[in-house]
Amino acid sequence: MSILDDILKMVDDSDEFTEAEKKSIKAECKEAWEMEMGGGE
Amino acid sequence: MVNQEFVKNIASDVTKELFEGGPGSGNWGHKGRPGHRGGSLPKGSGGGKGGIAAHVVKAGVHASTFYDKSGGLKISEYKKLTSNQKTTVLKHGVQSYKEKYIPKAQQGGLDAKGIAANKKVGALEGMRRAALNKVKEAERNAKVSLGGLRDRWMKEQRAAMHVAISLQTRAAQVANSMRQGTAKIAVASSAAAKTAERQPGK
Repeated sequence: MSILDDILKMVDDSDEFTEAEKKSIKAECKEAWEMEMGGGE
Repeated sequence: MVNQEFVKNIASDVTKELFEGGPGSGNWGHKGRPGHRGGSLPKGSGGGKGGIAAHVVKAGVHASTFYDKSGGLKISEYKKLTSNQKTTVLKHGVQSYKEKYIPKAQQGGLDAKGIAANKKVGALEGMRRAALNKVKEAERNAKVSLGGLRDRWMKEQRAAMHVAISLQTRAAQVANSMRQGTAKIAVASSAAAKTAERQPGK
């Protein structure tokens, strides 16, 4: 499992956020990750 | 009768706690928060002043210039940098961040909305810690790897730092909204104290 997958799973597992917030946080994390990795992950 | 000085002191303590950190805050004394996912910050990721000051991207350009007032990365300018320069900018971002979570014992000045917001800050900062632990892991792997594999680990190190910055930027936004709510509570407490002072019998 990649580093990004670990973080995305943590967001999914969290009880503190609404589904919309989770979607938005995950999108930001994914964008940050892909900016460095070139979208190849 | 409500003691105005007492109310003032509470408001001052809450403000200090929120803006500067203090006993029990995320950055007071240590960088760990038992029971919160992500654990303690890895060694070397702290915000020592000397380290932050040394984050010069190129002659006359400090890493801090690549961040906006809310701590967000200025993407269009960041994208123009080389890999090494990006690493410096990202390191600056994670090392200069001060955690904003308020521990339970210090949450007296928060209303229900503030407590809910604080929980979100805690969750985001927990995930950020986890991302920073991954940064250290990638850094260790890069040190013992060669060629393309080394480059790959260095990329992952940057990517994990960038994710951490994304999470801390979100945490700072939530904390900011929480602060605004707390400021309202402090104003209300102060107004109540003044009213009580004008009407000492009540």
